[in-house]
Amino acid sequence: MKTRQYISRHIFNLLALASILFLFGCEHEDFSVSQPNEQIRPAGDFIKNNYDFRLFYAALAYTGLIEELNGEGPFTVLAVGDKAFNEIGIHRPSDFTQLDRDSLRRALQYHVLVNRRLLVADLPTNGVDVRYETWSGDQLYASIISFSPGSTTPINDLYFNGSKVLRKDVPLANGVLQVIDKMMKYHKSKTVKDLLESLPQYSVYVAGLKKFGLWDELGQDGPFTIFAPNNDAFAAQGIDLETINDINTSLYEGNRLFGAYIMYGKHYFISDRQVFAAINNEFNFNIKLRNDEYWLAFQATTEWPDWLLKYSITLFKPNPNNPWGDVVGMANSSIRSRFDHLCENGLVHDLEAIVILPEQAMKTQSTE
Amino acid sequence: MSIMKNIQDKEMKKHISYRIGLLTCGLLWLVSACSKVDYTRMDDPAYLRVFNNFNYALNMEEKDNKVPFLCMIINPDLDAAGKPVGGEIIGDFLNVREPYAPPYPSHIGSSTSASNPEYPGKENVLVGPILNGFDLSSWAQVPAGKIHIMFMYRPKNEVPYFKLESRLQGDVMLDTVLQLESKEVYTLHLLQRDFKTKKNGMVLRKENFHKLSLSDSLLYVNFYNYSAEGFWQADASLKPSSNLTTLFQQGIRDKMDVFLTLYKDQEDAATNMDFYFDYLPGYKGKYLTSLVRNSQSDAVSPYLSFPLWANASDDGIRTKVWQRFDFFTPGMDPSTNPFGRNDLDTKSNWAALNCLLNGKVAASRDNGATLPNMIVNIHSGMNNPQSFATVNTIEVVNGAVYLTTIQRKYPSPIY
Repeated sequence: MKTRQYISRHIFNLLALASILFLFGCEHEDFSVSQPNEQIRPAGDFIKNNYDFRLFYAALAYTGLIEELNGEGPFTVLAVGDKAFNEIGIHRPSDFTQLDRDSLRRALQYHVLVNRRLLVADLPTNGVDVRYETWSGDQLYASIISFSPGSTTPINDLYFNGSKVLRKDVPLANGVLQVIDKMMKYHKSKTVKDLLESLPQYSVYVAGLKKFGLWDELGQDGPFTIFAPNNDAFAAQGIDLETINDINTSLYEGNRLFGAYIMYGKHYFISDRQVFAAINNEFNFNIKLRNDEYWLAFQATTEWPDWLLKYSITLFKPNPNNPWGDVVGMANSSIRSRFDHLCENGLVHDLEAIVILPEQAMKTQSTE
Repeated sequence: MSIMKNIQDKEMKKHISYRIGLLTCGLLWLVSACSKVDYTRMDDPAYLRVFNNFNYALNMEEKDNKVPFLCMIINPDLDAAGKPVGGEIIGDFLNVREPYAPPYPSHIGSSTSASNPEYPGKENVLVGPILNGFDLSSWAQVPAGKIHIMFMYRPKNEVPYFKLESRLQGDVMLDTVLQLESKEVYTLHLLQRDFKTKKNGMVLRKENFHKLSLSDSLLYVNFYNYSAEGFWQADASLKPSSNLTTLFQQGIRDKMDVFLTLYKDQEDAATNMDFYFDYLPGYKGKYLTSLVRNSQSDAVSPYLSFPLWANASDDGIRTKVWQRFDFFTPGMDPSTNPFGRNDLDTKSNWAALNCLLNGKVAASRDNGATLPNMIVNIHSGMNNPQSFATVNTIEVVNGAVYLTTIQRKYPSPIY
């Protein structure tokens, strides 16, 4: 009886207590462990999130390749850092909008190998010109050199079309990323002749080749490696289009004056000098001019302070008293973004000086 | 009675288990007997061994040349465009040859790559029998008569030739017809004919070693110079370099005299630079033959011999004797050799070849090329090692020198 009285007396208190309990009981913490992001860094997102690839990302976004790069893969992305874009005059993401979207897309697709996760270890030791198919359907050339192979600290240098890999084997969720030091320049379905003709900075050199009948064969199979002196190089020696027009071809050895810059039957990236110096101790490389006694020495070095690859060519003429020959002229070239223009039948490298002056290429007069 | 029953039960059980066993065996036999083995047979074979003698250099000059990595096709099936689509015999992945062609294709067991230093080499094909005491395991059986043989350039990878992309197929290096006689032994050499024009060719040599009556206690060797025309005259920078061929790197002149010296102890020579004084009297700079460069002729050079037991103090079971061959331009000989042991630039007037140990260890402070000892020293019964005589061929091709040792059938071991 007492209990009943007690309950009836406190029923409201009890109800209030129950309702408070009820309300508090509704709240429960979410104790489930947060899931790790399984889509961590696919190629497209990785490039987007990497401040050094700001421009590379902008280019990929402009050409609409990001989504596919976030796809299944596997991809091997040969990524170009902002510095390399700056070297070819691209500083802001908006700069890409001035370029033709389709050709830019093709050029960027040339920097991606599809269905392939290409790690440094996948390349054959000391492989030279190992060819791989790119996303654009074209092929590129990879060369790898190993210093002190088999040692505890082997060093591998890897080049794609003459562009050096700066950071190797960066893992991606859907492939691998290799950072290269410059854009690869592949001129699809263009011969070295087509390329030189299309670039106004070589108009003097092209005029010289035409004048001496060296021009037409550059459209043939080759391969050719051409160290093309630009117009500034000729202007520094007072040679311009007018000089070329006035030149009397019968007085000069065209094979030396303009042919000295052409290596026939060869296709060399500038980095090939580094490659063969490492794998074959070829610290010197000389090649005779076609049907001539003169020879050309081709060197490529990296030097303090920037350690960037530069090259030089030196023209020698024989001297009976000096087995090393006499230097006719030497020319350096150090702007790496202008090297390694790969065409269908060879390569064109920009040259900043000329190695032989017209007066040095005079035909020898019979003095008798 | 109960004991009897017990025994009967046991017998019965035994009997049943035997039956089950028999039945299982029978079933197994029935199942396994179903597979039919097709033995390959060649009714009228000739025996063929192929060497790819191109010495390719990985250098700037040759970068754009084709790598001599080949596929051999015998009696090819050609499509309408004349491109082979298959063939009777395929010898794929034919790489440049190794300096040493061992008596038995032992690299089959230890190799992990597809690339083949000779044909048949690693290929799993029918090989020759033991003919007059010579084991022809290194010679493949090919149909005798007229055969159409093609050598195709192929990329250096492990994709079988006919599975390559079609644009990579059809690059012909050599396409010819050979006449092979039944049961004859042939060695085919792919060669460079002219160093300047890079013209290629081949030599098909009909071997005769199995027809000669050769002694078991003599070692035999013959020499060939299959170098390309103009090789030794060419500039050093154009030639491949190798630290195993040393003095041969620049090539040897078109006519050379060959001298033999036998030294007593190959183990000592590897470490002791005074090994020169340790020769065997009577075998010091002994004139052997004259060698004339000829990359056109398929004639067999005569086999020259020297005894296995040249060292009188040996026990008739094992010997440490090793061979050195000096190649001199006529007019020079070992006693008038104007060059020093460390000279490398001999203007192709002198080259030396040391055959000792396994061919991987050079004679101490010597610039001669190094190849394995011609005397086979191997475990045989109670003797470890025992020394055996061999029949050998030395081929000089451009800047390289190659040794082929032919497998002889040796007396069975005594335990």
